[in-house]
Amino acid sequence: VKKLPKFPRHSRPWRNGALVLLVLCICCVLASFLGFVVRQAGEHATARLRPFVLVDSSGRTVTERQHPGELLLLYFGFTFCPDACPTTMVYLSRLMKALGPDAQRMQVAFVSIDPERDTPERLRGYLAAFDGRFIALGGTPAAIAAAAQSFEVVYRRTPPLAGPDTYGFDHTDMVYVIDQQGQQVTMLGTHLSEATSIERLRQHLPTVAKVLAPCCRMPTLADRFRQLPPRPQTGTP
Amino acid sequence: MITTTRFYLQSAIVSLLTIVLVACGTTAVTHPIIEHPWSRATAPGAVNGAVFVTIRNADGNEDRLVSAACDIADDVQLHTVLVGADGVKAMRQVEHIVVPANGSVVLKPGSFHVMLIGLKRPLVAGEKLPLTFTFANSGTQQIIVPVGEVGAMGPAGEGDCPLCHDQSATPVKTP
Repeated sequence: VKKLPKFPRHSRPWRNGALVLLVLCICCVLASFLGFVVRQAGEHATARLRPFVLVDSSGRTVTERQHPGELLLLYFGFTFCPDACPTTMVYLSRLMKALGPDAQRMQVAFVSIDPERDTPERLRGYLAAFDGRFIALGGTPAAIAAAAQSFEVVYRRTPPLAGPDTYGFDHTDMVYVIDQQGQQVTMLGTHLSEATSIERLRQHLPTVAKVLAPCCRMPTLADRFRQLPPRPQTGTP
Repeated sequence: MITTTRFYLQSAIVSLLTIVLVACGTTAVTHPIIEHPWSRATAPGAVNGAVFVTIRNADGNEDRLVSAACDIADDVQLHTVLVGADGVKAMRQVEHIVVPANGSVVLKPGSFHVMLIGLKRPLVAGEKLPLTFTFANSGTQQIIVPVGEVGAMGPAGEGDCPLCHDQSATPVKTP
């Protein structure tokens, strides 16, 4: 059989076409990945918080955007509280243990709604009993009230139980999770199982895709709706 | 002679019967059974504690836990936790805790509990805390409460797994 004549190496006509196809394929894959990233980011974007300013025990400022940990887990409680607060602290300390190395990427913070009785020293000892990594955040009563309002946390002082210094509080018993962009990404609480809580936290731990997402995203109509007027006043002592 | 003997015999029977009846009368009150008492060590700085138990009533009549006493607390009160429509938790003193006939009531975190107000000393893990419960029908009863770690979520060794399942976050009751 007579062999077909070979095309000269530099003039194979399909060669360029194949290259173009390959490039197109890569582009398609990249585009769909980007689309996935953007969708993911869209699902996780939650309401931006009203700004708050608190201080930690060493005087460092902590705000909704500037906080230790990639995720800040914030709880509003008081040490006089015999049931709900220790139960939530136990719940959080168990979560931190179960999270393993991921726990280092989170910071649990306790905001006392009772600065009158909860001195920084008392809070330090109290929190250390649950987990040495937990920190206390405080501020003026107004700053604490403002922070509570950011999360629509309600707290009301109740009449003394026995002696004059035995007043308590009715309060919202939830844990708020805030990311580095100052957004509340999810809520936790003792009504959730450990598995569900960990799933929620891991879902919101920043990954490369999520960090890149804001750069590849155009503001949407939904975003404009998110920047709507402030919430009504709720959390006042 | 016979009549005298019969008289003595009769009186003996009557008095025996009386004794038996009286004895039955006093033991007819069944004390509720206190099961799985537990408490948590207090975190430094915490001045209040809580005691949790299961009270079982084998009797056909309802009983009520009306008070509790503890030497190391300034005051001991019976409390419950109410959850409002806005999700706000409110701890309130209750006059009594009903132990239903042939049933039981569980005192647990987020619900009924015995609150120890103003502890004279911290509760330490491993200690056994004596408490006195007073019931409306069956009177007082001494109980010993083992104190668990600060992170206890149930009685020690009960295999209790409070964080194994999601619970409803919906508000329960607000009388």
